[in-house]
Amino acid sequence: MELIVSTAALDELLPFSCLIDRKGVLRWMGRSLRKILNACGLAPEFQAWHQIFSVERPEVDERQPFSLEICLGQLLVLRLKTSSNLSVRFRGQLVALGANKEFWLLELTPSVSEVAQLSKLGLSYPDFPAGDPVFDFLMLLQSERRAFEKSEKARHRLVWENHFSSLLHQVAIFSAESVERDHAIATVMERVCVDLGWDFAHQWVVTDDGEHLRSSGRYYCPNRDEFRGFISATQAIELSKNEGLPGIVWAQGEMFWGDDFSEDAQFPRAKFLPTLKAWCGVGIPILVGGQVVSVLEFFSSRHQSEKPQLLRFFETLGTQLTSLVEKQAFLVREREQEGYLRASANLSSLGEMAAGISHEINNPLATISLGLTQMKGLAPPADSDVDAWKSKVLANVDRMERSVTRIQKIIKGMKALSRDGQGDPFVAYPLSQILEDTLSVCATRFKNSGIELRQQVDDFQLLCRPVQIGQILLNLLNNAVDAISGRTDPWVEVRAFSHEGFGVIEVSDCGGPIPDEVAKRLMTPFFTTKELGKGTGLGLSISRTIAAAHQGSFTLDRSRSTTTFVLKIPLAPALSCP
Amino acid sequence: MYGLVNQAVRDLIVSRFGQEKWATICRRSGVNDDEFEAMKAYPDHLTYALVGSAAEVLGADAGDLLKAFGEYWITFTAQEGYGEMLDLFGSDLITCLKNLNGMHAHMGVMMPELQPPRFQIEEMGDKRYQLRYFSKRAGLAPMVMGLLEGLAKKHGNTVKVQQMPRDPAQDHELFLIEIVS
Repeated sequence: MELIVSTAALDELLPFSCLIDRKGVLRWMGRSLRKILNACGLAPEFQAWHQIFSVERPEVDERQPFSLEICLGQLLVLRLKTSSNLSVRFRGQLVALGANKEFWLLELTPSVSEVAQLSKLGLSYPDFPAGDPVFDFLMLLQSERRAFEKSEKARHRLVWENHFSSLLHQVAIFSAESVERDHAIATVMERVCVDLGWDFAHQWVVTDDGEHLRSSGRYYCPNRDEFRGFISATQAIELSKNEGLPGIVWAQGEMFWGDDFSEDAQFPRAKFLPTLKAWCGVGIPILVGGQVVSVLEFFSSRHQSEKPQLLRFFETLGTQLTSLVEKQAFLVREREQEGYLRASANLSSLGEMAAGISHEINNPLATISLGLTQMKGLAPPADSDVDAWKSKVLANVDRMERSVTRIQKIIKGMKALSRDGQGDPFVAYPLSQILEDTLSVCATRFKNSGIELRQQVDDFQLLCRPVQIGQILLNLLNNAVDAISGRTDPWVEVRAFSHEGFGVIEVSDCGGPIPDEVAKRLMTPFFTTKELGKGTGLGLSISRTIAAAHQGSFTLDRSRSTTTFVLKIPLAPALSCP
Repeated sequence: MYGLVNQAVRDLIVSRFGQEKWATICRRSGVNDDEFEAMKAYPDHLTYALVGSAAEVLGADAGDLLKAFGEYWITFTAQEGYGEMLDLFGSDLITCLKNLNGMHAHMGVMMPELQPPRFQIEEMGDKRYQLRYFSKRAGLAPMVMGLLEGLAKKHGNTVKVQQMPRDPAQDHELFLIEIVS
């Protein structure tokens, strides 16, 4: 059967194919192939096929004369010989036509693996035969590629999210453990820069008059040479609200991001940034009580492809640092409050002894007064009585001197005990001296209450804040007096000895053991069994805090039949070492 | 419909009205999980429910919403990576419309459950065209109007699209398109 097909029909059926005669000359070319040749700058006039195509498949021995016949029945891969930068391959087959094989049909289709290749060749859907599976292939490929891109994006985002959350976790732990706020902020700036590969971080603080931002002096910059000018400018400048990145953050109370500050006229330090780079930056506020107290700024010259995640990261970082600074501010307030309470408790102890102390001071004053009266009334001595007169005078002076010394001791003890010794250094100090100072202000109270004060004290040196140890002892002695006044044959005993590196001081009184329900709450702040207005309820809890600050302990020994408090304070090194 | 359509509905609502409105729309339509998979087929009623609830929540006409969605679909598919593919089916509006059936046929390879509409375009002269729209789904004619306007915009044209009254004897909707510029 012979079938005659028009070239117009061939154009529709085989738009990328061509016909070759026995001499290898192109005799017909499909419309889409002509289009490609045009796009590649090849004249589509009829010429020898091998001037247009090179054969990639099947592999041929270049030393042998090439014959088309060897391609028969094989997959044919041809490459377009073009000087343009377009690389065009075709796949197809060779078919002999006519009874005597007068023609060869090169039945071809372009070999494409992405849509963009078709666009470059100026090809579109109408250039292909209807229903050409290449479009199915491209659709599937595009869909696959899109899915891959999406999953890659998601993976990339997860990696960054993980990175950011791990960094925030570290910052959170560090902030929670940090005692010193400024050190914490400096460390956070460093960690963020190192982890994210940012170039510069710096802290601004609001000036005392609340009018400007100034450098806190804290910054992180691994490449100081490059940033020398910028650092100097930063440290020299003061910024108003809305001025520069930090000023905007300050005014708005919110994080602010800029994609490039190097060209920003509103950024006063732009000219000092290392040149030839686009500097993106972010500023985050640190607030206390809703007011901006500080601004952190970070700069980077790298393109930040993860901007949405970075924005979330910096926002969370700002929240964390705000919480850190607020926590620190709370602790400072709490410490101040604690100081006031301690001072109040000390004064209360002294207040309780005020009557005794005034009596204590009045006694030596009376002695002095009596001595002076006696000396005024002394008649001039007869020559024979000079020695006797002199000895009377000297005896009076001696008594008065002792009285003065006594008053001095009391005043010294009061001064020591009314002070808040929290800021004092830890020093090696003899326990005997502490006891002497303490007893000087409360001995009269014992005497007036008819309480016997027993002492069995080994002398040793404590590593302590002496004022605070005195405050504990004074507190214990006062409590003991309050507890046992009015009893028959009342007594208080102070025992001190060293044991396993600690100085152990026990204060016992003749009162029976403290009832369980009272004992349980004894160290609770503001718990007191004294009548209203007589005690603050802070003495024992403060004593325990002081002992803990000394790395020691303060306990009620409930194993005894008497009320016994035990204070353990580390010995000064010379004694504690064997 | 495929998840890609539901994703586009979500994107349109979120970008224009915010995440909160979208959450309300989901609750009202009984959609618990709005993480639609683009290449997974979902029941049609889910998409209809979303559009219906959106109209209620936003106080908008469902037809207007569908039209806005049709126009947005062109932008959305382009940003989802199918823009280049769409370009292959025609570098001008009319060629593109003529090849829509072919495009849908090829899309069937990656979306085997696709039930695409069918279009017939006929030139009336003087830059006026008749477009016949055949679909198994009811009520989506406003979306086609939006699609036509979106496609025209993509090719730099302005068109007037008019939907003709439906002839109950016919199985399609008829649109008149006039290319204004």
